[in-house]
Amino acid sequence: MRNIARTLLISAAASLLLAGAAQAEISVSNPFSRASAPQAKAGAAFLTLNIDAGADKLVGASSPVADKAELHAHLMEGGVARMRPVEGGIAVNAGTPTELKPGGLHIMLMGLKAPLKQGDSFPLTLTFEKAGEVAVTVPVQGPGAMGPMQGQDHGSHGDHAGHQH
Amino acid sequence: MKRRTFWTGLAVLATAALLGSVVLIADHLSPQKAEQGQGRAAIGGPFSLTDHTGQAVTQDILKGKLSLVYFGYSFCPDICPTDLQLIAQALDQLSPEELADTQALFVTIDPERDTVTQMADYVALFHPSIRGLTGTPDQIAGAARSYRAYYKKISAEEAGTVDYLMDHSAFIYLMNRDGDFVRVFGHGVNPDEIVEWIRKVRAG
Repeated sequence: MRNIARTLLISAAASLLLAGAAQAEISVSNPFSRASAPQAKAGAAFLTLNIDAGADKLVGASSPVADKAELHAHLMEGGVARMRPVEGGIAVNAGTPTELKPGGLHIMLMGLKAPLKQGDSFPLTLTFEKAGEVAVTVPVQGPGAMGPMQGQDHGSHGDHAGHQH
Repeated sequence: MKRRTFWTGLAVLATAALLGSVVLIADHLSPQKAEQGQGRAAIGGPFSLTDHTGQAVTQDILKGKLSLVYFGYSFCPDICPTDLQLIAQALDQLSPEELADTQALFVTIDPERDTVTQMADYVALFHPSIRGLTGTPDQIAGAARSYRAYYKKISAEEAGTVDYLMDHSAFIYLMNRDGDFVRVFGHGVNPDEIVEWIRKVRAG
């Protein structure tokens, strides 16, 4: 499992290098998604963005696994979860990683064409205002995974990712 | 200067309003509060729903077991899977004896999309002891009222998305064997805390 995940990450990095050859300043790390139910229509992808100089903006995303990919944010207000599209894109500034992670920002996959299965991976194309398109391979973790490279439990229910308290 | 006073005043008011609402929510959810008031729990009460196997259920399913009750929806890609995973992690820490005595109920606030089949698929992702509950929009409204769960549909147009979204309160309620409210856990709670409380309640 660890090896598969590593291979996926390496292939993600390789595809990044290829896609981002002209605009090398954006790097994407720790991409992951969560396994979905067989008939699920929605999923999410999480990742970390870095830029080595200046600033850019993630303005869109697309993936062949979903009809549409949208940039969403989750706000918790007084115990109420509100999910909304991010207006104007997600800023990426040099020196500060921009984390898309559970409980905050994510790429919402709407209209999933097939379930996301744990252990699989799928391509995701990120569109940046300046850097243009960057391709990422997103490994699918357990249904409630809180980060990449976890979910090594092969049990039928739930992995133990996310226990980070 | 006047302008500045105005903005300062506004900021003070906004802060006060925010603090006020936090206090109100905290007060509303405090277990002490629930235990007062002629033994009637502030959270919990009657419901009539359908579980993920298609069986009609009422609040009677709470009787005789400790229950973790959570309102959410399967279309939710972030908050709900996180909390259901925390519930699953808590359940996984229980001994077989404790687990036999404990159940988790995932009640959808999105009955339009969360059919019985959808619920069955969804809860199976997390833990065999999680029971998915759905119903008609009226039944869901009734259950949410009983648990003071908040939810609101945000249309695709309003949200600016391809499909509609749901705003919803994300609390895990712990109910005792009589179906009475014991405690609430907020989003992202440490599963150890849930386990600790389950053991506390079992120890009586």
